Amino acid sequence: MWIYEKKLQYPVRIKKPNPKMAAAILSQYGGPDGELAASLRYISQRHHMPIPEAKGMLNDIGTEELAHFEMVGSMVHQLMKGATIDQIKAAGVESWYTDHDRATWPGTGTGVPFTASYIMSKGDPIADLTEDMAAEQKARATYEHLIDLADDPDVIDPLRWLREREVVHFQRFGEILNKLYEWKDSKKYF
Amino acid sequence: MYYDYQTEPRRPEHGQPYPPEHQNLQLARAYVLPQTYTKAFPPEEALKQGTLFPELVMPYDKRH
Repeated sequence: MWIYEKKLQYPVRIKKPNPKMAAAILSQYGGPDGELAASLRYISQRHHMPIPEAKGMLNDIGTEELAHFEMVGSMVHQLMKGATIDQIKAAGVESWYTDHDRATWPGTGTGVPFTASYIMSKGDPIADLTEDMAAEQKARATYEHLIDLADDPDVIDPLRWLREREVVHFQRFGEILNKLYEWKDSKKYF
Repeated sequence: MYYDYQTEPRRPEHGQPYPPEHQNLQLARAYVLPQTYTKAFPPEEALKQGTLFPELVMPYDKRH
């Protein structure tokens, strides 16, 4: 189970509405390499890990990804809040407004809904950890694309921070993969 | 510059040494160098950076 803390893992304080940027960032909410996908992937894979270090790491990082999901949701909300109809039209996000008003929704800014097809839980610890490392790299790349698109320092700062977490998670998953190989090799001698 | 939480003897400053169990690398496997503790940011700086560990700070240069 979880204990909720009523604060963001890292502060998000965006003052200027920007529907175009909201649509871009929404991909990290409910898109293919987004935080929801990351969290569900790790929390699902946790169960079949053969060593406690792998279970613990997937649970911890899966939990942190939920905190990132909350941060990205806050970014999207703050970028849409207060946007005028003219700003929404100028940004070309009329289809978002049609279906959701200014609401945050787990999908992409182009209207593709979240799907479990984005993630895998194969039951093979080596295959799963290798996927997890790739997922961290894809998320890092996505944050870099978003940083390229952003101009507002209030938007860039949390994106920079979230990107750094992907780098750290890649390192941690790599260390777990090493341990899984050790586990696999040790099984041969029993 | 860095607050040091270390209580055990310091590892080499430059480069992360391979622990003995990782010297026998095999083909068709992916490896990441295991991190060994050297130094830590103070908590406030760690929150700002997104990591406790200076050696994991790998910032991105925005494309224009």
